[in-house]
Amino acid sequence: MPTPSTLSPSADLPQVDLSELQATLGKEAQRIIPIVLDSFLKESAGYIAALEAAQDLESCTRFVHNLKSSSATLGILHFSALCKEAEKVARSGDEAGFRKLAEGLIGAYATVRRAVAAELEAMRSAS
Amino acid sequence: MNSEHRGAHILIVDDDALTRNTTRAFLDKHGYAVTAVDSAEAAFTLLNDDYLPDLLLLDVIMPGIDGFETCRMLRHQPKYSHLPVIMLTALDDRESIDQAYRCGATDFITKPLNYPLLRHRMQYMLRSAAVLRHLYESQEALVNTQHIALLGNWTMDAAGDIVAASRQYLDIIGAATRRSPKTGCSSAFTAKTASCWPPAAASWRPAAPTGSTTGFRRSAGTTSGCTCTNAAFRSSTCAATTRAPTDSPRTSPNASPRRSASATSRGTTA
Repeated sequence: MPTPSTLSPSADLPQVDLSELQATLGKEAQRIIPIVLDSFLKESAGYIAALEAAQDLESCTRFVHNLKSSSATLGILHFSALCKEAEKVARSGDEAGFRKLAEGLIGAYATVRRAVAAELEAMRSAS
Repeated sequence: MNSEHRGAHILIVDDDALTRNTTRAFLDKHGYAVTAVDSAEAAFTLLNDDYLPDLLLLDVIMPGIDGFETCRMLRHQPKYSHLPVIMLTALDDRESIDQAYRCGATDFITKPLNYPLLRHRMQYMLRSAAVLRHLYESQEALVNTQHIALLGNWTMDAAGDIVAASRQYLDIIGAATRRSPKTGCSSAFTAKTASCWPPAAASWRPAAPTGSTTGFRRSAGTTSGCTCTNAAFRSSTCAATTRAPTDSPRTSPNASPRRSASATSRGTTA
């Protein structure tokens, strides 16, 4: 039986690959992963809102750092790579470059969010 | 979970709710008592409130006081100088890893967290911390016992310099110097030892103290022993342990038998 992460909710949504997290958590996966997905949806919305509000560069660096880590945890590797690049540019002090990358992140986030929400919904339906 | 660590108190400090919640859920399930806060400031509030965790999981990048500074601040407090601290760093962040160790972190683990690995590391650290705690308790008990028995211990290197000595030993030597060498385990021994403190007399070699039942001669390795001055018992006890011997210890006829090549020789003088 396919696990929710192997289901494809929509072709245009970024892939959420939970296989690594499931392997890591083992028997705990079913219980913990919905907590993780829910946590991502709540936290990431705050970070993106802060990026949209163009908060100071130091705070934004921290937000993209956290987004990088949390999206990697959920196997959203493309988005995580975007965050990593943005963090690198922010750390170099290139604010203009960072803002440009942040716009791309904000644009990509909408589909990431939909994909994670779909994954969470699928897990809840399956349990 | 290893039963010896069941209920161990773990403090998670991470501003990232996803990591915090996931880690908490994972550790809860394995029987740890988990407290999670989102900043170093919140952690210090807890710690100042006499909350003492068994292990700290500390994120590096946080608003306000970051993980490095938090670790540095903790290490400056004797109470937390040996608290196991695992820092949570980014996978590709070598500089953070180096800095984590410089700040006094016990270990690090990279994000995204590998939970089974985290658990293994935590168990190892909790076990190490327990051993360390036991060692300190033993040392404390030894200090107390030495204090009661008027007994002090010392370690001497091959050159005959005393390289380590307990506080009680220094007290004894101080007392012996101030009063009479007769209060020592033997006058010659105490007087010689007293005269070579602070450890500058490289030429001084341990010799069998006058009247001592234990003799030893070393030309390499270290020699350890203890000195006792307890007038109440009208006797003194010396024990000498030699390590990495290059020649045989010499003992007087009434000394305890040698036990092995790296023998411990013990003797008592009334």
